[in-house]
Amino acid sequence: MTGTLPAPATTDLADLTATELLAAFAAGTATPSQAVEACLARVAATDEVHNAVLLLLADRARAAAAESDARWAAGTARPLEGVPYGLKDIVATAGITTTGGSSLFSDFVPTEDAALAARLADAGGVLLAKLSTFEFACGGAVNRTFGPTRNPWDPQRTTGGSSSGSGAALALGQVPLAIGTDTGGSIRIPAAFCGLTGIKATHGRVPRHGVMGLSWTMDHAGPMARSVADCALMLDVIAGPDPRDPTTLPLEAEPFTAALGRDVTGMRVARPRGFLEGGMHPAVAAAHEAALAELAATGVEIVDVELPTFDLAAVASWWIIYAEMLSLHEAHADRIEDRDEMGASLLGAAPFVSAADYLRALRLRPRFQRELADAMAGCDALVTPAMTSLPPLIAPQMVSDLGDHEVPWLEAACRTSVPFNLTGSPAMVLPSGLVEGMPVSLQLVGRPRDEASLFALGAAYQAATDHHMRRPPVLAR
Amino acid sequence: MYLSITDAAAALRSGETTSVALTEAGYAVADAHDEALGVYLRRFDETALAAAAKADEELAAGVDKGPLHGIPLGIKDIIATDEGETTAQSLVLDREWGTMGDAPVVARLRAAGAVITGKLTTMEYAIGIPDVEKPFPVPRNPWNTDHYPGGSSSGTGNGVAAGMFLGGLGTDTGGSIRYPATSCGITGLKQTFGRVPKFGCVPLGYSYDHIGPMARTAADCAAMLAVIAGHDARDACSVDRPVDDYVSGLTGSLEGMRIGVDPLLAASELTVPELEEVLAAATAELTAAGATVVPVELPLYKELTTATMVGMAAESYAYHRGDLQSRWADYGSGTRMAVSIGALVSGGDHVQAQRVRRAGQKMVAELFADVDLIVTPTSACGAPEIEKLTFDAIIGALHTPYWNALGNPAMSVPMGYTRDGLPLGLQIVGRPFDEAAVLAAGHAYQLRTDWHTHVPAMVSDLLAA
Amino acid sequence: MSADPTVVVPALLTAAGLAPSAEEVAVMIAEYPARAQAIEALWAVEAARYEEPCVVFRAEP
Repeated sequence: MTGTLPAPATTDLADLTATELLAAFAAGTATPSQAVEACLARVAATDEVHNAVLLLLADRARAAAAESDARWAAGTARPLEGVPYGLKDIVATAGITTTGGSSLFSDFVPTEDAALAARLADAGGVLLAKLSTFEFACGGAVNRTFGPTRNPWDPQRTTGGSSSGSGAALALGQVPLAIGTDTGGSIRIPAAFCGLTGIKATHGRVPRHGVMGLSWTMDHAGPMARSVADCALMLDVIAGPDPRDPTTLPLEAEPFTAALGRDVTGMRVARPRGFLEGGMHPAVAAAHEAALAELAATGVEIVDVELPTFDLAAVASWWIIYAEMLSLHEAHADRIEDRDEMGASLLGAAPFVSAADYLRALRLRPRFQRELADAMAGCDALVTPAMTSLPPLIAPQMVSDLGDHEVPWLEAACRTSVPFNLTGSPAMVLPSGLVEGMPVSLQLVGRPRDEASLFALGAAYQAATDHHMRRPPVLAR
Repeated sequence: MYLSITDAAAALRSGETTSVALTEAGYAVADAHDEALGVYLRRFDETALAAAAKADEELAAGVDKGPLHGIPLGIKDIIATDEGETTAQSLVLDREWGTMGDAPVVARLRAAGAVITGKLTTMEYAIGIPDVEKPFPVPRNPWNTDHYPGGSSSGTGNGVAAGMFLGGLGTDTGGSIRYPATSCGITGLKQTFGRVPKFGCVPLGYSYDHIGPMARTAADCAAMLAVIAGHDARDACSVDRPVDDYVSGLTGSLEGMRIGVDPLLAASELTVPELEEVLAAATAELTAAGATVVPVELPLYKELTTATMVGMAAESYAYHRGDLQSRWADYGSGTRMAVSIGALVSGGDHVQAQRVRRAGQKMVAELFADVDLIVTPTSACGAPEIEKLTFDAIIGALHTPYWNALGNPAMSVPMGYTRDGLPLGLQIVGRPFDEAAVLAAGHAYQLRTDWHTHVPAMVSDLLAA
Repeated sequence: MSADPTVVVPALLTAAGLAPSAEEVAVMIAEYPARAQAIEALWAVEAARYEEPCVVFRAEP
């Protein structure tokens, strides 16, 4: 592991996690208003270069923080009382522009909050900013309307996406919590590239109502944060059934935060060495081995398993995304030259996907689900590298360096992520070290509806290691 | 001769008849007329008569398995049964398919004491029109053998009408239960999507397919549905919720019911002029039975019909693509043409059709906030001549596919004749999972009318015996 | 939809690997415009603009 300086000891509230902030608010050592000011100061100091924020809501946030101050004082604090957060700008906010990262929606003001936005606000969270995204959550790293978002660890490199602003804002300390969305990896890719923790929960766990769709059966919304504990905290607030999303799941008996700190000794984690560990940059592969050793050291048993046909899962996933996005974005297909790079190529390919191709992919889906279930039999989770390469340099057509050759970045970035959109499994990414000064991460995949095991394993890993504590060098200056 | 399951069940218990007698009587009609009508693909005389004899012994010993005990029933040949191969009336279907034994629906009928008399004709893979060049019977209408009996559950429809068995199973993806029901003057119910498990049935359109009862009366369909309804996890679309007591809900009264009527006269170019009058007479009977009948207009009528046709084509094509590539000529012309439409549909088109379905479900649910049932004609006209059959003309006349896009329960009951003496049907539609109301309305209507008791002239002598 | 069915239909059939007779292709070409128009009407349903498709997907098979 090449060394960066450990995060400096600091009392800057912008560097605290949500869990730490809530403890400080409860102890009376800090107030929500102070936290909001610290975050606003961090935005002012960092955003010119990194471009995480599309719309700063300073006045609203200050007003909300004042109300939170009063609630803490009155003893009526709610679960996220006074914690600043950001929303990827494909999440509808009543009375606040929601652009989808597209010039087509630059003036669009929804009249209703997305279900998850309403839940965060009702839990006392303070919406600080609407955050950058790839156009319609599928455009390229260079957003032609709003500019590229730059990686806090190296501004020449991409944050990944499509939840680009959520990734950069969290790594920079602009907010402790953010919402990302994930159709092919868009929570997990920027989390991995920016050294964060993010979870795409089970399909149906978080209502999608009011979140701009891309592909209904692949879309997930979820928390991104700087620790496993914060992800559990946020997921507890946004999870649960909503009649406006026909796929939502019922609530679990226990909150996800109850899994934090659970003893993981003797838990078994499946390791598929085939496709999901194939095509890795050698230095990333070496870091992965080291991370697995750390995971094993928490008392977990790692067992080798096979997922023989998962190379096909990515293909099936793309066919589904093509067909579903065409249905949603058909109106935009005729002005395709105005769309950002990646979205244009996806939308351009979509008409060539026949209904039979789409249905074939849908019919294969239960096969992949069963293959995964079989491989995970007797195990509590599956572990893979979150990324097979380091974040690519920003360019109109980005490529990922795999050591001896380069591949289109999306191929590398989605390799380990998109199969679990297809299966609908919960999947968490957490930092596991640095390679060449850039973050690398583990991915833990759970059984459907078993986010709890991921939180238990992730919390144990973060209790034993400090990878998630490392901050980009830019913050040390 | 007993024509309804309900009457036969009573006669079995009073000792007026036996299951063996019922089964033999049906086979006697088949001996005389099956060549002309094309009902059976395979008869199970031996096992059926053995089952009938066993039923007679059981009933005599006081073991009563309910209203289907000892009743002869036929099964459309796309549903697997213990007796062996299932063909889907196709040269293409792998004969290994179906060797898994009884589909859950058949197992449930057998457990209720029913006698399975054989496997019945269908349009190949439940879609298209007959191909005379293929080595399978061409089903004909007992009311006029120059005419089609409707499809694709043709053998169940014309077999019940001709009295070869008292009821049977059909399947319905765009109307394949209700079309032969209206065409042959019998009663057929497509229940709510998910109410009856379709495991063990060759798929056509996964998200549109239903297996349902076809019989002489609504009361008979209620007795059959009560047996075949209920969850089975082997069908991913099967819904786990309690099954209503359909039979005891048949009170004969429609007091307090609000029924919306949409005559759909302008919705088809093939509407016969007498349809308006026949429908008006039928709705007058519903009023007389106590219902309040109000006009309604079905929303997105053409679009939801398209959503069924597009989705069915795409979903069936996904199943058949490989075989169509390698064995085009082995498929009947009607089937391969209908399924290949799916090759001309994009993935986006299919998803859009699925979105129109949900939009339509919400709009129709609003209609059902004001009325308990909706009635329409089942078809715009009587069954067409076999010589002039085209798939598009069939779809152009039917008012059934709309409800496959939505999933609501829909039943066809006989309501009169065209000027040419071909049966016409009344389609009764309910809220999702409210089959009880649909069946109750059909039963009340049949208590006041006798269309369902009519039998075609060609078999009336035999049936009178 | 203005695309020429004599171009589109044979192209789609070729792409699908199907080889109907010339007569059958002619029928498909003749029927194509009406169906394309019907499908176009699906895209025009305003109520479906933000609707979810009736595609059932659960994370547990």
